[in-house]
Amino acid sequence: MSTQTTGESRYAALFRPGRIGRFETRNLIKYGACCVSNYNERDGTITERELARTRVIAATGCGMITNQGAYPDPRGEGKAYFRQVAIFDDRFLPQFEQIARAIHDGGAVAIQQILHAGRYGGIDLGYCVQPSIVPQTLPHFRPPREMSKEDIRQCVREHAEAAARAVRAGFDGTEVTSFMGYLLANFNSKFTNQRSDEYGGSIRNRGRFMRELIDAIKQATPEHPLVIRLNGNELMDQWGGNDEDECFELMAQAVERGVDMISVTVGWQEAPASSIGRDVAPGHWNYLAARAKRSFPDTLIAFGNRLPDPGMANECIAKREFDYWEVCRPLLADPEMVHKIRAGRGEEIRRCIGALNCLSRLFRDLPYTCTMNPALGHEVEPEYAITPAAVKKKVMVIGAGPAGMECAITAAKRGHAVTVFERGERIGGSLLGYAAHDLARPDDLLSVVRHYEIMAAKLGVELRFNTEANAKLMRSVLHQYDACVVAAGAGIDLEAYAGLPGRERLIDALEVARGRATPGKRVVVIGGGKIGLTLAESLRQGGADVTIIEPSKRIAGDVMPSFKWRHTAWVEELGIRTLLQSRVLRVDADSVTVVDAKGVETRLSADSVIAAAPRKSRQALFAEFEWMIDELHGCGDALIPRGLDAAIHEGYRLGARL
Amino acid sequence: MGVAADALLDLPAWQAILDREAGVFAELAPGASVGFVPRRVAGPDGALRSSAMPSVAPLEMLAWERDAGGMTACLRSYRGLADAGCDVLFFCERGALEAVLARAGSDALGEMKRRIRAGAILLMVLRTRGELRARGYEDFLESLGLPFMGACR
Ligand SMILES: Cc1cc2nc3c(=O)[nH]c(=O)nc-3n(C[C@H](O)[C@H](O)[C@H](O)COP(=O)(O)O)c2cc1C
Ligand code: SF4
Repeated sequence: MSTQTTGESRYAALFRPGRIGRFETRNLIKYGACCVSNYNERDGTITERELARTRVIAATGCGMITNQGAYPDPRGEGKAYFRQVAIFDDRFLPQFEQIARAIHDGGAVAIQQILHAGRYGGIDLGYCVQPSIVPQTLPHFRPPREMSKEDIRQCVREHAEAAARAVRAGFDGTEVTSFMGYLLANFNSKFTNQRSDEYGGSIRNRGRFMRELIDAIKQATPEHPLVIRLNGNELMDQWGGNDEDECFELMAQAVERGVDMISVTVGWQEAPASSIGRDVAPGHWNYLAARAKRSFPDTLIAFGNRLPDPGMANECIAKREFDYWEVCRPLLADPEMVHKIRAGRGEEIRRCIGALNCLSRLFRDLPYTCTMNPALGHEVEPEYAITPAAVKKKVMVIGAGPAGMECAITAAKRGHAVTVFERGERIGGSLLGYAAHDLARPDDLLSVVRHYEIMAAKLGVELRFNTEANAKLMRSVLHQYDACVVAAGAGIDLEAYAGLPGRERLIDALEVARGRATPGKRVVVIGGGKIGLTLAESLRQGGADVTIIEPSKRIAGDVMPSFKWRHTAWVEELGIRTLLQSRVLRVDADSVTVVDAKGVETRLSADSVIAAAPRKSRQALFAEFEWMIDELHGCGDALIPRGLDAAIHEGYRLGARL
Repeated sequence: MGVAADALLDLPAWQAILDREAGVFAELAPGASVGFVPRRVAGPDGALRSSAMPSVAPLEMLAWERDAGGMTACLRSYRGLADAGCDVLFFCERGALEAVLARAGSDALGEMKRRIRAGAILLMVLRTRGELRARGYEDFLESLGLPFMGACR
């Protein structure tokens, strides 16, 4: 009789056991090194916060788990992130031992990644090291110093020592990474490697550093597998980087030196195109892994960049396009993902929406967090755990947007009886409007809505749609509830235009977003923030002539840092006109008059003028309900207008403590 | 001869752009300086080579320099990255600066931004982020669509 779970037979390829070197893995899922976290001490010592997070990673159910990249040199030249972990000395061993033990206890093969950031390193220093002096293209990084041959030898030695140390700590194998343009990538690339000695010039010479690194690590840890992360495509063509064929030639050199696995990655940080952003379709880069597998059939290939769908990964493995699904962000968003698919509960997965809040925070020297997983990074704090409520309450939530729904399902998981009152006819709030006009991938945003729909049904959250929350409603349910959560979101503050001639002609952006108002063909949008931009882009794509009026110096001021460039690029590509440091003076039937910072007035033809700013929280209910219920709380945009991340996080925190 | 050299030498046209776009440079500190060189230069054998090398045979660099009175366009000698004498250096493909000049009267910096995005103008920063910020570069670089605080895409 078969003992397979529904999920194991449905995802048969993923749940097949595998082997790397002499180590068996229970399935073909590799937790990608995705944990440079900035949770640690500035000197590289691992903290309790990190260890608590690692225990969650260890319990994900993956067959192989890669621990975050540790820098291997005492100078900190390899250090890329503010609070990155270090592995250059035995004093760091005790915490690595705990991590290796936790991964083994969770049933996975443990791999330690060694990360020398090269061009992107030296975060605490006034410089970074590179094969040659090729200045930075992004202001974020340090000015370069060229490595001497002695520096190179020392660097190789330090990598080998770090690998040996990881193995002594109990790791089964090690990994070196050239992800996103780190040192190994800098040597391999003809853009950053312009040396004229034996480490530069021909592709064979450029690959020498990598080959020496592999040889040294293999010698230091002969019984233990070595994984190497290499670009299948650097996306650096316009800078004179390696093309795809050269990337595969470098992989061939790694194979020739006997690496046990190649993890195929895409892009450099400074590449002008997206590699893992929300505008890249899931599965877009799979062809690179398939090419690697075809080219190196006897070497294990791991792949996962922007491949969030377990079904697609299962198929790729079944078709022998790669051997291990290397997952990163999908497991940040939902650490239970593997267990859910295994148990046939795949519909409960919280999908990664790819908006890169996680990496954006690392670049600002902040600990990483995840939009979709509010507990991430807070595992050490009991306050973030979902525990049974001491007193089971009847909770009413006003608003079925992300803040209200997150609060509702979190509270329901704790045993509270929850009813959500929503004036619209479905879950989603303003997220539905965004999704309807999103040029990147509406399905990512809609996956959030779907998740709430599914979880609300599973947890028995009662939903009352088409119900306006007001004092009358409250009177009708007086004494029936113990707590009320106001999560009514924010609207456009049309009162801000009180003195504007023609203000009655203004159209509320949220009405347009929800499809309740249809603008004409010549549109002026007031406000170049995320609402205004999303609408402007979508209307322009639909053929309208669109101008954005923005009072500040730049558009996209309230957009997540990693997505600002995307909006500005769309504005350029679509030919949307932007008038910065400008405000509207009057709105007429077929035009709008605008004045800029110098006082110059311009009259623009327009048949529709959409107000997309400023936003105002819907707070009136706080005052109305104050004397009508025992506990009154608020969360999300109803407190201060922000966005999805704050909505979900606040909703969760409130639900976890009600 | 340098590729794109003609447009690069047209100082009055560049000065007109700097005057017209003065607002973008308002935050730059006196002494701040931006350079433009052709991306590729012909070597003695006639073959084109990258000018983004630590040292190259001298060639003319268009410089936008900030002094107390505002921005000035002038010509400097470029001998390679090791001693470029500017804070930010733009490498321009053939035709890119001509395209920017063609928009001198309307949207020169917008055109520059588009050329950067298309890979026809590449930049290199020769100072640390802190130094650039201290010299007031944040607005200028962001206005060209260059993420000041690092990118992740
Ligand atoms: C927060 C975060 C930290 C990461 N840290 C590392 C790292 O330490 N080493 C590395 O090689 N890649 C690192 N990555 C890249 C991931 O391993 C992975 O290649 C990338 O996120 C794309 O895969 P995904 O689409 O499954 O997220 C990190 C990514 C994220 C989002
Ligand atoms: S922050 Fe966004 S991109 Fe990063 S893992 Fe979470 S959902 Fe995915």
